[in-house]
Amino acid sequence: MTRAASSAARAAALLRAPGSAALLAPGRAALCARALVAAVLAALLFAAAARAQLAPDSTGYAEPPPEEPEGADYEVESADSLAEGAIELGLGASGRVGARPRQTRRVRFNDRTLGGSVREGEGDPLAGGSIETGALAGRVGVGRLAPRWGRGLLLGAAAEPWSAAASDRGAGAPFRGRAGRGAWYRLGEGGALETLYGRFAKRDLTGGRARAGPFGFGALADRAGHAQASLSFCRGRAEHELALDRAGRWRAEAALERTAGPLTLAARVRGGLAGLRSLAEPLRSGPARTLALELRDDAPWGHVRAQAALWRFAPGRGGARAALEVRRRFDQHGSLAVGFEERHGTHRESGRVPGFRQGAWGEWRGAAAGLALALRHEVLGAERLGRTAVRTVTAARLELEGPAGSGLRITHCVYRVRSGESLYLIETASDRVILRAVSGTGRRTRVEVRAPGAGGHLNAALEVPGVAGARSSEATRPRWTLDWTRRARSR
Amino acid sequence: MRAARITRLAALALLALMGSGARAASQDFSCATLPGPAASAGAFIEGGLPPPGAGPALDASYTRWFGLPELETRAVACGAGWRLARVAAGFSQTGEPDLGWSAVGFACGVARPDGGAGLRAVARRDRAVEPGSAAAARLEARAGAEVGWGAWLQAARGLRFWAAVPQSWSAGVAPPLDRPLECGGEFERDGLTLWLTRAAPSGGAEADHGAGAALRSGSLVAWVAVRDRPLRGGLGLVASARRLFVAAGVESHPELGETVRLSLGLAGAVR
Repeated sequence: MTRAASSAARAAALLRAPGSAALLAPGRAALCARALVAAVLAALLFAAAARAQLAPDSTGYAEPPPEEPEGADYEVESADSLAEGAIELGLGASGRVGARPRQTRRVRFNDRTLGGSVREGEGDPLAGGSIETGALAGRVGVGRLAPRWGRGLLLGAAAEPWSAAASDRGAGAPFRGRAGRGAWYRLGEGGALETLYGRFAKRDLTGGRARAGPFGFGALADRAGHAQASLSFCRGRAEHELALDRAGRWRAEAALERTAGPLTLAARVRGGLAGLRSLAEPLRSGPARTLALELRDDAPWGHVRAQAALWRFAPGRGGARAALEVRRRFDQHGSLAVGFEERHGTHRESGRVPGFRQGAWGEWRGAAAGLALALRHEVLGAERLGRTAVRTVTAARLELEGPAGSGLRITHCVYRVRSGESLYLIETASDRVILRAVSGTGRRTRVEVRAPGAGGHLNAALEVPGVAGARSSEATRPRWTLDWTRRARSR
Repeated sequence: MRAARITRLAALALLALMGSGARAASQDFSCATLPGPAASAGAFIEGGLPPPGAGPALDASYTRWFGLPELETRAVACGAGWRLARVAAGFSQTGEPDLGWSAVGFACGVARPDGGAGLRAVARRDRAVEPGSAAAARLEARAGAEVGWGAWLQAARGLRFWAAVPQSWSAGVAPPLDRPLECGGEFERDGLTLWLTRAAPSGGAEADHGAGAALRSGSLVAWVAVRDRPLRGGLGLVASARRLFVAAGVESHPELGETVRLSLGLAGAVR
């Protein structure tokens, strides 16, 4: 209990930190109190419960980044690495029954000095290429750009106000996002000097960043004379950034993380002016003011994670979120996870304000030799305890392993989404992750088969939407995907 | 003929009402056994959940829905297993000759003592087709088919979870019951079995929930079950001797009457 009390005190102290008062506009006191209660409850939970490991694919409620239109499919490239000297070829086709298929082709290679990838295909949102090589004592590249500077105030911001780091920006991110296109040059270990020129958000930008020890300084400018600068400091698990433009508008963010045994406390505070918007990624500028806390407890038996965040984009537009996830591991593959989430206001800078949302989800996974089964249910409601549900999803997934790396996976989900709300179902393909937007009431079965073939791996998927007995329509036509991938050594 | 069609539609609507609350929204191969994976071949076809044991199975079932003699289902099914593989096939008839339908079912899968997965398919055809009608002219107007799957897994000693999706895909005449995803779990210890089930919402309705308990004493298993929407209950008895089993179950509906199920067969460890 001593540790719990200590954690609660630290959480409360962070909530009372300078700057947080400015966040607490009239009417926000209740939210703050709830966040504090959530933090204290989480700390108490840590004391009472044990330790665990968060599964990397833990989802919660999946949503596309704010620069993408709401209610539309979203595709992002998986950032799986390619061994040195390897080359990967891929051919794919996808479509709906009765419609013209979409073909895709891709090549990736990674040599000691030269690496790159090219994707093409009509209508493929990931089409394009990038190439990089060693030059001028550094690395130079052309193509897709998704850099991250410091805390991301100018480049590489997280998609959600409560996220500490972007999952699709910067080196080491699990996904390769696309902030812009252009060329870059990096000198020195870890990018001591970095320059870039590219087109971001319909604007040509030139920028550069230099790092010396824990300090980093960067600047961005466009043809119209707009300029922004960033000063950052990074040491250990502490990272801070100050960004400002020529008009004197500024934003600053400080992120700290402390570990005590299996317990980790992370805190993030952002302040500044709403008028400062990133030249490169204006739709990802995020809130001008944020206070976020995260508590994690990793233990042999499982994992506990609690989050609380308050943010404000502009006067009258902000939000808050509290979330708790507990995952209990039973063996190498089996686990039981439950999660709770409450939101207020909006987490997007523009568009509708959803208001109060409270929901919970539960997921069980188990496996026997060659067989795995997962069940998941989630509900998000407009009233307390998930009442007046705005979206409800129940899903079951079966995985069977066959010989020689072959396998079968069947996923079935039943969903109900209230009008005006969006639900995104996650599909994992061999080279991308797709958030498939669905609405209304429906069901969907997705059958995926993988098998070795033609010197590589063949992946096929068939998705059957709709309800038994429902009338055939464009939306109820089966969707299919075929993909062949081969990796080889180039030398 | 129009009156017969209306009667048939009414019967189907009634069946659909019942199906939202019947055990696993069972249909053509309904058995009077406990929910989840069972040794009965009919249960395998009904939910796609393969039996843990590999022995041969043969069973016959009779169901009278809500005490209506014109809504009776008679089914026979057989099954076999070899090592991990399990197969079952069956035939059933529901209703009277002029408004009922016949169904054939097939299921195959793999199973071990701690888990299994199966695929099931059922094809139906109207028993009476009026010459010159649309049903006589087009196959899809007088017949239908559905394909689904099921899987179960032992999560811990005595604890088992399952998922059944009987209608992942369907074609032709719509099935008499809409059977969405059903998830369930059961815990068994010292002869006492407790289970919970949840069937996902069907159409605009809410989800269905069920709970039950079974007590085993020697070769006898007695069970009771409750369901919501509307709240109702049922009870049953399963008796087995060597490989022979007899099962009977009654479920009461506050508005529609009682549904009676009888099953007789040869199988392994029937629950």
